[in-house]
Amino acid sequence: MNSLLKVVELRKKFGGVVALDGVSFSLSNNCIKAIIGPNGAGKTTIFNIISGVYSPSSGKILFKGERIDRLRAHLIVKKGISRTFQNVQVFPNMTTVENVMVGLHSQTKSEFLACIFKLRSARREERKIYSRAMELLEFVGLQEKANRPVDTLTFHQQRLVEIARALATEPVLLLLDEPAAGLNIKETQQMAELIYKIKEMGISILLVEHDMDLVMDISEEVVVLNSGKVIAEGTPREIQNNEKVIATYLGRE
Amino acid sequence: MGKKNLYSLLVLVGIIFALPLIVRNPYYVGILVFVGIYSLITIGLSLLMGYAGQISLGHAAFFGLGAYTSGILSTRFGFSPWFGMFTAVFLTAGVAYLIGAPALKLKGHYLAMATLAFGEIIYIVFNEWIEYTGGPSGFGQIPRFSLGNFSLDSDVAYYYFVWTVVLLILLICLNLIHSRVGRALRAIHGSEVAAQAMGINIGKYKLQIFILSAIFAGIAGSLYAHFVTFVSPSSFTVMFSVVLVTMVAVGGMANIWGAVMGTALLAILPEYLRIFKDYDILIYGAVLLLIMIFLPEGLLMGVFSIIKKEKNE
Repeated sequence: MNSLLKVVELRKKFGGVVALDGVSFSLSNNCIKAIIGPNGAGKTTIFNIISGVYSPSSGKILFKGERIDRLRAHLIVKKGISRTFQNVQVFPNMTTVENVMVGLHSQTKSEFLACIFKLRSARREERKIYSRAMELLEFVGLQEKANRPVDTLTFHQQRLVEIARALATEPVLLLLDEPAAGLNIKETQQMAELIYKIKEMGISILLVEHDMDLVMDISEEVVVLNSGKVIAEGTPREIQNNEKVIATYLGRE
Repeated sequence: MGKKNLYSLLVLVGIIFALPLIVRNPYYVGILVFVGIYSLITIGLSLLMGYAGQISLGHAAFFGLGAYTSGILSTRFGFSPWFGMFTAVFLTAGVAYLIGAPALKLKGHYLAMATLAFGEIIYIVFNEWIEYTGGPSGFGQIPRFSLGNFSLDSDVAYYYFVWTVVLLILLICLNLIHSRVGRALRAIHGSEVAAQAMGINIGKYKLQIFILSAIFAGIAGSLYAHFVTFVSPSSFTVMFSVVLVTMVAVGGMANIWGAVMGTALLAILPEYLRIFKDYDILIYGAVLLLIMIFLPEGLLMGVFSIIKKEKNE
């Protein structure tokens, strides 16, 4: 029962389409787990439900033993779950450092009036937000791009901004949606190293990924999804030798 | 606040100070007062449209609510115009909350619909609640503002008064935009789903910005009532709400400088178009059309990007 995240019999229907058909798995503390499966298997749907974008049709999600499946997205962040997006969702109308500063929103509290009148409390908090955001940019190696408009950065760099922004919320669990998509071999290697570094900070990671080399390289556990159902779960080695997985998924590659 | 905004503010202060020295015709000074008053509304509206992505078709009604509240309290009950303005702020904020709280919970343009209905209702109230509002013909003899013993009777004095308020509101908005809350608003503008994932309560901030914009319109209404010293329902029609939205769209959304520019253009342009007599509305329409076709980002950003392009070539 000491699992960090527990997904129980999760179902999600979109109209007549069953995206998830009773998915259960769990994630233990400080672990890297990957969700794999062919397109349309329901991987991103799981992420969207955990992070509160959708609510499930039925089933439960327990985080640190507490039900979070009915919470709205902005409250789930406060519980300690943060995420990145498959097709990078940076805030294009802001600079790089401002993007990361938004990530500190849930950690800070200056409200409307304090901001309008620039009260001392708001200014002090603003300095803290800025310096923490700069630390995080340094962590992902983008401190030199801090004041650039974020949409002038490369795709790889925008991914890193998203990760820095997600880390700014001080998560216990980080959901990475295809962190290596669109990256070249060298960039993927760097991404793997970064994910390790994040794990060493005591953060658990759940990732959806298509790059099998990356998945088998960094994850401790893998869960395989097909048509909204879990067809296998285990260590990367077990998954690679699983008949069912080879037949439905790996065999096609 | 960045350097660019500081310079813009200083330039604006310079222009505001110098204009009455150049513009001697009292009629035109009057128009400049109106530009200031309308700018207060459009600044708030540009925050709402630009950052919350919502359109309000009820801002003429908030403007009217401010004007009538302040006018009635000072004329019929003998309160000072300052008290009237103060009450107008609270009343518009309260009404905005009641409209915005349910409408902004829904996705889509429900706020536009709710405010459209609200605008119509308020217009009917102004017409029918004759005992207080004077009905369709309105009421007059509203006192002017005074600062201590100094009454703001001359138009030039009122001009400086109104534009000081505009500058204060601009300063407040700039503070807001460059703060934690402002970043949250800009994040909502950039990507709602990512903003939510960062712990931003989208509904709450949209509501707050809607209330703020209504308060600005309420202040503008109070300033209007004590300047014109007469109010009647015809100044607060839904059509005027549409004009306000147009001012913001022409100036550039999510840009408070653009809002002031769009307001100035749309308030002053009709005066110059008088020489075309009956064709003025036609030309007015054509100007709007051309701006929206060739400068879709709005006047301000449009001009900037043209200058940038010229420089690069």
